[in-house]
Amino acid sequence: MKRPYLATALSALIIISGSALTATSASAASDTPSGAPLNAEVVAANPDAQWFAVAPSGEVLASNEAAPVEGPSSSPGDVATPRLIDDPIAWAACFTAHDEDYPLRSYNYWNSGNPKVIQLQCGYHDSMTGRGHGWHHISAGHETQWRQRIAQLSSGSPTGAGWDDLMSFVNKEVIAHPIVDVPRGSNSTRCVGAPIMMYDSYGNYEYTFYPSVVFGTDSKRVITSIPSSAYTC
Amino acid sequence: MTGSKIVVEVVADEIAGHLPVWFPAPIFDDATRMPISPGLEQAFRTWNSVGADQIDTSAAAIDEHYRVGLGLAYTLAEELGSDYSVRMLMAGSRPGWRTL
Repeated sequence: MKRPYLATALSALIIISGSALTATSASAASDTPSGAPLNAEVVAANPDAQWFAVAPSGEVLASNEAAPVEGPSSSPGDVATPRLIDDPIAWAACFTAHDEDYPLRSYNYWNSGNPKVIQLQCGYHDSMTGRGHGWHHISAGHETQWRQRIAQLSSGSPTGAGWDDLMSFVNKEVIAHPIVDVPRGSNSTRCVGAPIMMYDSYGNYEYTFYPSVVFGTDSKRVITSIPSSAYTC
Repeated sequence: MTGSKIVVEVVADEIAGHLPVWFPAPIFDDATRMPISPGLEQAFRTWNSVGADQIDTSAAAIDEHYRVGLGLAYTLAEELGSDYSVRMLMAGSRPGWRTL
C-alpha cells in the first residue's frame, strides 16, 4: 500500500534543529572536523536514515532515501521526484506553470545583524545563454554532481536520490553560517561557502566537501549551488 | 556511447575562477587529484571567469564563448585518453549536453 505522497515526503526527510540532539551533534561536528563518528544519540534517533549531513553550526540532515516518494501523475519523466518539491502545488508551479518566482525554501542571511531572507525559487535555465537561477538552473548544470555526492557515500543511494534535499540543506546552512563570504559587486551577488561533513547510516564519518552558493543581494534569491570539493568563492 | 568510461563533465558556473570540470567521486573538482595539465586547468579557470563576468550576452558573444570552452573540452578529452568520456553543457545556438 502506498503511503500518502506528502506524508511520505515529510517522513523521508528529517532536519534536526532546536533540540537537545542539536547540541550534542554540534559537539561531535565542531570539535572533530573529520574522522569522528556522529553523536550516537543522533544516529539512534534516526534509525531509518541512510546518511547524515552535518554543518558547522551543528545542524544535521538525516535522510531516509529508502522511502518511496511519488510525484503527481503530471510530473515530467525526466525529473525524478525531488522531495524538496514536496507538495502538488509546488510541483505544479515548477513543472507545469513554470512559475520561476515560486518560492521553494527560504534561508536567512545575517548581514551585520540585519537578516535578509534569501529564497530558493523554481527558477529557470536559459539554454541559449546558459544563465538562470533556482532549482531549474541548479538542476541543469549541477544535479549530476549533487547526486554523486550522495552516491559517493557507502550507504547512499546509487542514483543520488534526495539530491535536492541535500542541496537545500546546504543552501540554508551555508547562507546562514558562511565561512567564506565574498561580495561580487559587478552583478550584485554574493558567494558563500562552508564545510559539510557526510556520514553513513551508522554515523561513521566518510568525507567533507565545501559547497559554494551564489545568491543575489538585490533579487534575494539563490542563483546557483555547487557541491565543490574546496572553497571556490 | 560511453560504455564503462569514466564520465567527466564540463559545466560553466557563476563563480569566477572556479574550475568548471567535474570528475566522479572521489575526485570531483579537486584539481590536485585530476589527471589534467596545469596549463589546461588554468585555461578552464580563466574561461569560467570570463563567462561568470560576461556582460555581453549577445548571441554571437555567447556562441563564441562556448566555442572556446568546447575547444578546451576537446583538449581535455585528448589529455585524458580513451578511458574517459567528456561531456559539456553547451549554451547558445546549439544548447544542451554534448558528448565529445
